[in-house]
Amino acid sequence: MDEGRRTPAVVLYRVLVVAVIAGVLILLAVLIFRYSEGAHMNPYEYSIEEFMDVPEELLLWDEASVIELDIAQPAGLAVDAQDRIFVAGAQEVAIWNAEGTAAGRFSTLAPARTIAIGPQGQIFVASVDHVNVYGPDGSHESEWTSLGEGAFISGMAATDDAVYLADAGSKLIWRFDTSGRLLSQIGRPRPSADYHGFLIPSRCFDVAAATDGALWITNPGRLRVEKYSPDGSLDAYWGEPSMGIEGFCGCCNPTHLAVTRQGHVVTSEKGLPRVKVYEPDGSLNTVVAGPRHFAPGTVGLDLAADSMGRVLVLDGGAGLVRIFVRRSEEGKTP
Amino acid sequence: MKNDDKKTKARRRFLAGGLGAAALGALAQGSTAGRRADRPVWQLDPYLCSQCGRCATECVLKPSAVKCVHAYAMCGYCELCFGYFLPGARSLDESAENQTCPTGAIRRRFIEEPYFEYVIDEPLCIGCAKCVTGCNTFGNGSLFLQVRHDRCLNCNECAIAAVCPADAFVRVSASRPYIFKGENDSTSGGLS
Ligand code: SF4
Ligand code: SF4
Ligand code: SF4
Repeated sequence: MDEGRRTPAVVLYRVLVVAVIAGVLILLAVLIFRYSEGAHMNPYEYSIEEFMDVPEELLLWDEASVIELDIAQPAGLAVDAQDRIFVAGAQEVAIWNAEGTAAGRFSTLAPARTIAIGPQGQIFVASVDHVNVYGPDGSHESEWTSLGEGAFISGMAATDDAVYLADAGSKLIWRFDTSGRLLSQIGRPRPSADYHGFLIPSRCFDVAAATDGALWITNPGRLRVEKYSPDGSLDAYWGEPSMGIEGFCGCCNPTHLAVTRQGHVVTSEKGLPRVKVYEPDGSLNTVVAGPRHFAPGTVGLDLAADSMGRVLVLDGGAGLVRIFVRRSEEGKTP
Repeated sequence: MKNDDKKTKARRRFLAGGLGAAALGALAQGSTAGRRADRPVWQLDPYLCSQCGRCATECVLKPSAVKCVHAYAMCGYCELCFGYFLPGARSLDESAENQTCPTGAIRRRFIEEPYFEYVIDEPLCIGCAKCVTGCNTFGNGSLFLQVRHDRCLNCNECAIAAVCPADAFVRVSASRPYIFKGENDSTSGGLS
């Protein structure tokens, strides 16, 4: 009976049905393959994978703890003489003690770009073009005049008698006294003296003051760090372009810096996010954290160093302050 | 003399900044001549683009109608441009093996100490976005992709838009056919 049903028309019909089903399946597979992100191999991929690893013998710091931030758009990090930790964001400044316990917060008048603490505990909070000064209790004390249209303050340092603003817009360091009176500027190009000032291709420009009064300033377009006297004279510089760990990568690095109490210069970079410690003469001391420590695309790693020798890194994208401790000689975190 | 002329012109262009964008604007006007101004055309939003490479491979035109453009007003005129140089470039000279661009479509020239200008040779550009990734990663994002309307066929269904993983393709008015990256980004570098 069954045999009798297999006429050529039935066979042809079955073959056609199978072919149509197979065709639909193939089409579906092709569409899924074509439209699925994972299946797409970019023949023009720009890869930095080979530069992501750091030699183990240089990675001598451990992330001992983190502070989880509950603050919108954290942009600036500072520590004071008591090692209290300050983070400034879009609307407020939050404060923790050295152990990472919340110690207060206050609202700011304008979204912050960067923060510095003065010797008397004054809290200088810089917005895009001007500074607001708050007392140690967070009360508003004064508002300084604007640096003008086009200003973009991206870094700040405070000493006993001066506040230095790194303005990525004008490519200058502005030196004020602690009451907000403009004293001088650092970085005006003098081509006749073969001095070209600061090259700032992007909003990465930072300044830090050492305990001996020296100023360390990034010159990111030159891929180097420069040392100035408070009067604005260039005393020294170092840094070389390199994807290798000893140099600075890309077109505008380092993005941030800090100075330890011992005089070491701590730098952070974008593109290959990494944090390193240099000797004052520019030789690489150690690596605090390499690119694999941070999410891809991490930028804006503001830095601070406290009296205990710890390096603090503001990783705003991750919503964290990462606190790094140098390993002891035996290779263990003290 | 000719070289001096070229240098002066380049310097003027450098000092004017933004002229690249202005040129694109002029071209935009030209490209709309003869078109109905309200007619929608395809464009890609450079702020959404994830540089996946499909703009080079999927356009019905070969080479693609998508090209790299350069916002001169944003550019840092860096000596060491990682849109131009490969991350692992052995030396910082202009030989092909040191360049990011697979077709050699970016020309680099000295302007004045310490500045260099980078110019896209459009006929050579295939819209692969490799330089765009380099500039976004290490620089300030002044290199970006745009559909060029002097060559785009304005297909009913843009073959790139159909597969763009970032949904970066949009219809815009032919009277404003480009989405510029502008002055406000001039120092952003992804940090803002
Ligand atoms: S297809 Fe979309 S994401 Fe990919 S390069 Fe083109 S615009 Fe960018
Ligand atoms: S790298 Fe790609 S997008 Fe950039 S100029 Fe060359 S071909 Fe054009
Ligand atoms: S509309 Fe057509 S020609 Fe224009 S970019 Fe898309 S695929 Fe290419």
